Amino acid sequence: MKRRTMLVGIAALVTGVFAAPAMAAFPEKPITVICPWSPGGGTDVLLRALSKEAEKFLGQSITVVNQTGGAGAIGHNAIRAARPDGYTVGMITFELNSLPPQGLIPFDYKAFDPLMRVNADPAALTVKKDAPYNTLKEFVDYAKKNPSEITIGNSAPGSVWHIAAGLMADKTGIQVKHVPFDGAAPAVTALVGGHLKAVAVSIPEVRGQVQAGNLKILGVMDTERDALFPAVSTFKEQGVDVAFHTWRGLGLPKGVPADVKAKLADSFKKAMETPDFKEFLKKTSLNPAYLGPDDFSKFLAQNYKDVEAVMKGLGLAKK
Amino acid sequence: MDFGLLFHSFGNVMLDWHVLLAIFIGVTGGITIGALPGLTATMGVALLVPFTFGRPPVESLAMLLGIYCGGMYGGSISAILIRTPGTPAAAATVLEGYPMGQRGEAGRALAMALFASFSGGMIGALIMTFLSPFVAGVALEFSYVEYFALALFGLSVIISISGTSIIKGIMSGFFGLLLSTIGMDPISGFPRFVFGRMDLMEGPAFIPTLIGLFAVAELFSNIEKMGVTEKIQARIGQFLPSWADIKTSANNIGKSSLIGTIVGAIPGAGGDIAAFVSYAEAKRSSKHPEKFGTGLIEGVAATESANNACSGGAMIPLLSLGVPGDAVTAVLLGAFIIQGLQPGPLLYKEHLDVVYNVFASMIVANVAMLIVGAVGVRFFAKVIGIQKEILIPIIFVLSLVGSYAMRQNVFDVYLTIGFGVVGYIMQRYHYPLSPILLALILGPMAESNLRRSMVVSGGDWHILFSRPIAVGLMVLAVAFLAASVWNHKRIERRLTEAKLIAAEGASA
Amino acid sequence: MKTADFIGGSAGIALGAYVIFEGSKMPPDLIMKIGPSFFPDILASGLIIFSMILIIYAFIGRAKGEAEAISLKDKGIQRALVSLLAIIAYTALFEPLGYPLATILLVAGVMVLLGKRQPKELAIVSLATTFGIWLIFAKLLKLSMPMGILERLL
Repeated sequence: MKRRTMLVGIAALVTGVFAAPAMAAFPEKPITVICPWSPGGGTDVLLRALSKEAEKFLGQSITVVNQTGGAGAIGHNAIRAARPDGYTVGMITFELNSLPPQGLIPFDYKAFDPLMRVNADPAALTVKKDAPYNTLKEFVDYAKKNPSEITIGNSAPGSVWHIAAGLMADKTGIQVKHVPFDGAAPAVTALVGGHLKAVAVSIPEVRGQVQAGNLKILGVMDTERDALFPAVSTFKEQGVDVAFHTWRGLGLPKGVPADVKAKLADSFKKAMETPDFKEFLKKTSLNPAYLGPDDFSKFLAQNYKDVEAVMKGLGLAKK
Repeated sequence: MDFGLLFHSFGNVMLDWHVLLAIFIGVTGGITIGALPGLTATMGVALLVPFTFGRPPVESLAMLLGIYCGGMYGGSISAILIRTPGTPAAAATVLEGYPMGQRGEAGRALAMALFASFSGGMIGALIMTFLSPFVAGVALEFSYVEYFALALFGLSVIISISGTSIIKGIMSGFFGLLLSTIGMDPISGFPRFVFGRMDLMEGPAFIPTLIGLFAVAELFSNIEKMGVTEKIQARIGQFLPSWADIKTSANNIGKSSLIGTIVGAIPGAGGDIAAFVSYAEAKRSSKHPEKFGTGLIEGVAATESANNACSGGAMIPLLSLGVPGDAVTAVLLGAFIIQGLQPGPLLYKEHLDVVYNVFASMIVANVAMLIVGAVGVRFFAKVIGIQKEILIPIIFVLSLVGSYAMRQNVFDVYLTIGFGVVGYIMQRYHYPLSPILLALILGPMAESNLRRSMVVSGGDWHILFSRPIAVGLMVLAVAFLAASVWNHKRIERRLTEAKLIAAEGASA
Repeated sequence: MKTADFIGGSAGIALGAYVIFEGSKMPPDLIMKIGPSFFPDILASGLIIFSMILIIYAFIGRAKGEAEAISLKDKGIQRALVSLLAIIAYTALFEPLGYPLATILLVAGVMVLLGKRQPKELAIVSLATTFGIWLIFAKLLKLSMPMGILERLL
């Protein structure tokens, strides 16, 4: 008798343990978010701020894991290869579209299930405050008169800002020397010290030095003016039709069940709308650019085509 | 300098128990993180930044600065006790600190490391407080040309840290420089020597390499020599260095603190370079250079004061220019921005109170480090008394998990083991390991800045000799190299003399 | 040390030669004149030159110090080799088996290798080490550790 009760008990326990996950609502354990960039960097800080808000809507804690290296390749690969149960989400960034044309990673955006775009920041042509040009046109004229003098710093060879500067030079027909640095910050420092003529990095990266009066922005590569510097006109307004952004978003490995994906998409969307997160974006002057799963998918495909075309034109792509 | 406001800031920091507690927590955490192989001050600050979301700026920054100061000192603990620099900046401390520990003087070395860290940290923090605007200007003068020259100057100390054979030291240096070329070329992006592996695209990860060469290699030789070597009788009980030790080291502490502050203030050059340069300088100016490498207290004093002074120095360009001076301050820059503060000239104009609070926190953090460290020294030194059969497996796990934790990548753990084997063999045949580290730090700096100069000049080599600071550094590099070769000759002569005297004594 | 230096120098020359060979396949840079292979070539040449000096010194009898040969018959070397195999196995099992189990096995294994055989001591040290390190990395610093086969149970 005793023995039977025990057996029944064990059976109940076993079914309980194995049946529970199927019945319980997602998520029922903590979620991991992979960040392909190092702790303390711009992407990492953004992701942690967003995750902190999303925890409230998911009802589970979120751990950010930094799988860095290979110019973002390692982290993206880890997201792609993660178990598609929704418990692993990843932040995907612009490099997902610039690494494949260079032949540096054997997969592309198609290997992911996009969740949402979070932000998109345009490149801005920034020069020293005391430079003899105040508009894009004056800069282009100066560059044409002094063809070997213009040096533009970027954050790494083949990086988003290298492409942006190349695109600008291409569209305006000027000769420039691209000087790659190890990240945008040292390039901006070199510009402040007068060792470069310009940088074409995003506004958050030059904001401090512009506000301090060391640098000035000649134009932003966007369709609209920047909220923080409304006096700066866009490239298009100055007669050069170029729009170029870096972007960050969330992605899942392929094969996550639809209801799980919907829950994640909904929770992270709500997280983006919280006052705390909005305050964070404002302080860091990042440009929110939400796109839902479907729009983000379309955006990724279009962006991939654009980036590949530009990189081929600049000789950055591998054939 | 607004002394009233500075005074007020000290009040903010010391009288608010929240802030004081934050500093003490930061310092204690920093020392722990620094002492663990694989976890650096940079990583500690980066991992704790998210905890400061939504907390008041004074408190958040105080805690992060506490981690920064504590982490810099913490690295020396494992360097002295288990021959593993807890942070790259403590790599030079291994040279003298570990032999001291092996001689049973771990307590003395730890006490000096603490005292030197405190003195260096204080000098750096004071220079930061009173001379920031003057020092900051110099940082901007550094272009690619100066960085290339600085890297050459740094490499010129390789001979000083080579040990007995110059040839083998230089070979190690070239080996390290070659390792540093693995990965994507910094200018063209071409992947070099990566064997088709994504994990190698940014080169062999620095921390796993460091752990492999030092910690794992040392474990192998410990296991091999088990039972042969005697157990170390450690004398502990002191938590501050003796007056005699302070007197012999005072000169070096002063000089190294200045070197540390200046190197720290140059963006992109950090505590590791400062410590190696100070060590070489201490050896060059010493009356008995032949004793370096055998466990000399001045060596520990020089390296530890230099790397802690570096923290104050690195804060200078961050606060006054918005340009981080080293890896930790690069992360701190992010922490400021999250608080809605943009470091740079504007911070001085609009939030002078924040700037002064940082000055005050940094000084208080150094005092807190002295207190926590003094209490801790007794406990740390006990590590050396733990039975090897128990200590070795624990250090194995710490080393391997530490390599994994950095990037959550198993490949890095294999890398650590690989470098452990390489380090073990090299050490056995007297190839010094420190030059490899120095080369790994300075190689990318030398190459990328040389190539950058060439991009700007269009391939014209004259650019390298067109700027006074750069030429000055290159001349200094040549002079230092010549001096250390000459010094090495002197050391060899003295050692032979010593041997002859010993032989005569034995035969007589 | 003579033989050891000869081997060391040859290894240096071989490495240098390999680097130069690989470098010759890298794309040249026509504008700046120095491309990706420029720096490695210089370094490899330097390594080869100093390796040759080392070999020449060894030949003319100016090798320094004593060298201990690595002999597989030596008990110490055998122990070191076993520990090497143990940590390689640990690394291989780290993710599939998970941090806790793999670590307990490694700590206990190395202790046995070094001569600690008392079961109680083995259990206490391996469990305490595993838990302590997990506490610092996973709980305090929020770094994720693979749980492996334990994941389903937790």
